[in-house]
Amino acid sequence: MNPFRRFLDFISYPSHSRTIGFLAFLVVLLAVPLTVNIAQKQQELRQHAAGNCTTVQGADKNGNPGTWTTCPDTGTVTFAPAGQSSTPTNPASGTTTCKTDAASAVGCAVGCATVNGRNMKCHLQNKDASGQCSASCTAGGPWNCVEDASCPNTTPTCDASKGFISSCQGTAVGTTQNNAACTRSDGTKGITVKECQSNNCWYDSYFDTTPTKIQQGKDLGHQWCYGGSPVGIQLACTNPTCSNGTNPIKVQSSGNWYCPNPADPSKDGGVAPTCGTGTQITFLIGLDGIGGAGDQKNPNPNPAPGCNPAAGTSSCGSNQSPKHPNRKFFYQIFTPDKKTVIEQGQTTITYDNGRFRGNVTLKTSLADGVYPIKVRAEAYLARLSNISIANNVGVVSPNPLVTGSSTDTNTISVLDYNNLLGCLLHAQRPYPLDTICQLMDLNDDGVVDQLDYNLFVREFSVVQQGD
Amino acid sequence: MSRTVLLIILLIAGVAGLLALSISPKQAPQPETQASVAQTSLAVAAPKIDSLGNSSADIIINTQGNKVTAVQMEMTYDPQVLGNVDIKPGPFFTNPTELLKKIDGGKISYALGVGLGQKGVSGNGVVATISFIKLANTGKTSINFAPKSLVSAEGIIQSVLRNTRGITFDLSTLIFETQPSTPSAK
Repeated sequence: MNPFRRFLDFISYPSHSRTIGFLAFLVVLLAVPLTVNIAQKQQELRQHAAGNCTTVQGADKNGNPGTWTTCPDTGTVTFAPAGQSSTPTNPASGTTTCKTDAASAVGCAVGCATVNGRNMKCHLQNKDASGQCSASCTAGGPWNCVEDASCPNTTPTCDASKGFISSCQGTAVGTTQNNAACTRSDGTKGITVKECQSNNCWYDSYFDTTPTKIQQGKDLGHQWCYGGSPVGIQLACTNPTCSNGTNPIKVQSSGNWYCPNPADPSKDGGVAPTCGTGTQITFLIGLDGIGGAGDQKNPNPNPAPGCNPAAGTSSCGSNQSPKHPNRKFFYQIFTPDKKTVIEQGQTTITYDNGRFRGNVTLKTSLADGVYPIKVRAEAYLARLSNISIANNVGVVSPNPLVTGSSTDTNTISVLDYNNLLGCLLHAQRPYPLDTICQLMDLNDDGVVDQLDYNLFVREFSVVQQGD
Repeated sequence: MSRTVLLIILLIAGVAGLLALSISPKQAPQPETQASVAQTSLAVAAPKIDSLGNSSADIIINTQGNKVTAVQMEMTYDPQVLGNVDIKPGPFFTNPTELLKKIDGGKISYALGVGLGQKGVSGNGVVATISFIKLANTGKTSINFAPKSLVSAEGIIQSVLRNTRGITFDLSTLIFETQPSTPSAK
């Protein structure tokens, strides 16, 4: 008989046993895809978990090299000997009890007890420079550090470059003072200087161009004399000062500064130059459409005769009561050739009688002179002008900034026009009102309206690119 | 048809659906691309010359699906060859607002858009017309778009300009040849 015919007969004239048998068959069939689906999901989960693991190179408690893998998602720490696949291990307990935080524990190859279900490793910093357990080991955390021969070698390594106090990476000890009694064999006068201790290594004077390791526990009263060329220190400012009354000298080869010895400027005077107080700059910034600024077609902030915002043909005056009297400004100060930024930053200054006024103390102390400075604000194009610095102070008062830029590209374009239209017709608006449309409230009167449209058209027709 | 038959059919459908779900290849989500929204093109049409010897070339816009609110054209030409260059709005926008017009030293910066209260426009048509006179009668010259050209559209943040096409034509005959289509700058 035709199989299809038999199937139809089976459906048309079912018996009880046939139906049960067929249903059982379907249940088995249903289990196949379900099993496949569940297996796929488990595989994805494992792949995801594996992606959050971190590995460090190290060794196990017996000193065998390999890779430690920490997986925060699964709470596992595994060790794979070098050249072998990753195999979970459970380091011998009782060697030490370490940090309970896996992230800070990983990094030192010391086997530890299981803490909170995790196989933890003792951190290298639990030991002091000599390799002994320091006081901080027991005072600082929930670990109990013990000596373990399998820890990496922590024997101090002396680095000759740490002999200069200006770059001392350890502890500077002693005092620095002029001492005419200190005389070198070549007859030059010297000073008693601080000594530098780093990693249990003591060094002599930072004025000595060839620092020498000296014995530990040396008598600090011993006098060390300086000689050789001044080394100086790196400074961010361009005109540092010296507390010994001298003018700082720049080492041309390195760019470092040093305060010279008053008696012999070719020698270091033993006083570190400092940047002192940074230059104070006063900002006086006008913003088009606000207060005392007009627009790019008419700098007069008062309404022009026949002002018609809808026509966009005349200035309709500037808003004398801005809704945001505190505004963030960004600045960049350049070297006179405009090639290098000396300092940049941002500051919030306040509306005051038609302009935004505020002071900024720079990190840098600028020498007297004229410097290019670029100032911009949100929705305004950057404006480049000059600032004259005299006696560490200066005032920047550029022409009013041009408004209409909502795209943070220092340009005004039809894309800004599109944003403005979107804010005027809310159905088109591509942004939430509190972001772009706040920027497009060009005259800052709290509403995007024809006055903003008028102002935008007048600005865009004259300026499209900031400095 | 009995309930048993219905149950069997439902089970078969369920099994088939689950099987299809299991064996169907999974596709990574595709990020939206800017190209999907940038559909508008600008092209310079063949120059025409009237009986007085004045020449002009239309700039044709084709917005595809974009509802264009404004067009900003940055164009270049040879000022030694073309003189008295001017540009005016075409009929594509009804009562457009002329936002920017600068013609100097071989560069044209021109922007126009829908006026206050108007909505974006889609379709194709003449968005602007460049007029000029020939300062030379032989050789070839070009009118091209600069990469800074932009087109804005309703509800879209970035420029919807997909490509531009300038034109090169023979000054003696005004027979033209189109420039290759170039993608616009974003």
